[in-house]
Amino acid sequence: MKAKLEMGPRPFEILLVEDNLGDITLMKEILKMSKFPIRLNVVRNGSEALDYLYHEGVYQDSKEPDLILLDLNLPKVDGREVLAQIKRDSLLGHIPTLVMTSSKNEADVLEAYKNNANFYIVKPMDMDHYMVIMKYLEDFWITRTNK
Amino acid sequence: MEPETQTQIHIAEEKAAPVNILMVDDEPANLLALEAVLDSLGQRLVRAGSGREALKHLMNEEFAVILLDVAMPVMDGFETARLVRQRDKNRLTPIIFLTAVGRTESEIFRGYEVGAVDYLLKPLVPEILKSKVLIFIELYNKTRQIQRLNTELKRNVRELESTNQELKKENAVRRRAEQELRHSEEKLRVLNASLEERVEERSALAEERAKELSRSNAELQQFVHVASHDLKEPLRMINSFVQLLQRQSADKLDANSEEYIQYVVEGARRIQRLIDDLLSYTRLGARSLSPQAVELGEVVEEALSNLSLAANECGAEVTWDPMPRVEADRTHMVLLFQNLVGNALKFRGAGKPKVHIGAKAEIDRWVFSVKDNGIGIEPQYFEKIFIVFQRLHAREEYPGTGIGLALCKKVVEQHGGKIWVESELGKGSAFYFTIPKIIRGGRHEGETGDGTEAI
Ligand SMILES: Nc1ncnc2c1ncn2[C@@H]1O[C@H](COP(=O)(O)OP(=O)(O)OP(=O)(O)O)[C@@H](O)[C@H]1O
Ligand SMILES: [Mg+2]
Repeated sequence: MKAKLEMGPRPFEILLVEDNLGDITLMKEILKMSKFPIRLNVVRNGSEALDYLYHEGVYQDSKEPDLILLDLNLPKVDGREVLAQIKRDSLLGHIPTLVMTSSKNEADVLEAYKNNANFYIVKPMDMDHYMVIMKYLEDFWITRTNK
Repeated sequence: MEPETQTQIHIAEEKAAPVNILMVDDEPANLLALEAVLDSLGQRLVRAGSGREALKHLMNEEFAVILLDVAMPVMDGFETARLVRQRDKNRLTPIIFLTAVGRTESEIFRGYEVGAVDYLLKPLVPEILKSKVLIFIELYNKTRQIQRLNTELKRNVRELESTNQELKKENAVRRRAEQELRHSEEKLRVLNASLEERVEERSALAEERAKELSRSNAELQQFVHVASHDLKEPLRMINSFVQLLQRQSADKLDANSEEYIQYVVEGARRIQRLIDDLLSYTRLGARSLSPQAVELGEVVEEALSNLSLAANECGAEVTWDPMPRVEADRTHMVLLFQNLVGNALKFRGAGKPKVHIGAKAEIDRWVFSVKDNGIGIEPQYFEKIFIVFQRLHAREEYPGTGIGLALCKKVVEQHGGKIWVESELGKGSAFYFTIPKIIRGGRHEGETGDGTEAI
């Protein structure tokens, strides 16, 4: 596995859909600590996310992400709509989409899974927890996708 | 005839006191003769030698019968009888004339005219004299008896009358009392009616209040929920970045800065803990109870195993009574025992900590206790410590946010029980709580209808 991974020339593409600057910076810092080459692309709201995925507007040259980190509470087009749209589209549906929110609201969790979210992450309250999540991303998604 | 007379005398003697018999004759020999005959009757015999003397006696005394000689000088028997009869008192006193044989019919007739009742002819026949006198004695006694009876009767009547009067009075009193009773009954009825009205008003008010309360409860819960989440967001930022700073810039910071950052980290952690506690406290009310048969023995063991680290660390000795099975919410029961025993371990004294969990059956409830030999609590804080976030010590002394006992109180009350503490400073504390054996209406008191309204 490791050998294969090292052969992959391109970095692992992550699309982060997040409006909160703090969270964006945090995610950047966390992913910097990863042992894998990761490229983090950030959009600030739902409609930008859809533009990015459909290569529209300013995102004509966008690359299809290997993983989407999607905040649910977004301005303009809500994260839930973005998720539904991704999973509805046969061209995008295969992209692992991880929903991230600060709430553990059961209704949100259920809806996300119903819309085929691949995982539901509650934004961690401290660093240790962030590291756990990064490890999880590496083990379950980055290594597999890079196979 | 004779024996009967004897008997009658006998009775007369026995029954009545001796009566007075007046004998009037100018011949002392005649008087003596009369006395000799009448002595055996046992009455009081009074002698008079003339009509005048006879009248004098009659003025002073009462006589059952008068034996009056007709032929007397100065004032003869008839004249005497006339004077006697004139006296009101003696109008009916019987007079027996004693007269010599051979007197004319007209004389006898005259005797009857002046009120004689009988005639006895001289020389007197003793037995006849005796029996005639006896008849008058009896008559007299009878009359007296009747008089006595009469007065008695009168007295009785009087008494009856007065009793009657009293009865009437009593009746009146009773009637008045009855009236008053009716009056107060009426008053009571009116009062009751207004009371009922007021109670109705009150309960309507109470219902409204309850509705209001549950509404504001729901609002408060909503508020707490939103506030905790909105509070958590910025907190997450503080937390994460301060920690990031710690990780990434540790080598660039001087000792002071590191200490300050540590304070920020600690503070943020505490806010986070407070919010989490507040949320769980709120959620305790939001979640409806699911009472089931719970083996408290298992519950205690679970609570202790959750605390085993703390217990082992301080070398505590925890013992417990055999625990019953109760109708309760299992999760809540674990929470309850864990908090109480946790406190007992946390607030330990200098010596070896000893904790005992007791269970005692009462008629309709169980009384549980968690006793320790820890630092104890001053009486003025017995109630306060059950309030959310109410603590008695600096955080450096004993960690915690002060939610534990508030949670315990809520759990116990939701199960329809009570919780309280007995303690002596420096000696130890005993926390008591009760759980009813039967849950009313299949639900514990304090639980609200849909389980979402109360906090
Ligand atoms: N067994 C005990 N002995 C002495 N003091 C106690 C005991 N239990 C509670 N207290 C006092 O009551 C206060 C409130 O207790 P409570 O359990 O609510 O809060 P805490 O233990 O301080 O914090 P938390 O339970 O939230 O960790 C405590 O701070 C302590 O002062
Ligand atoms: Mg406590």
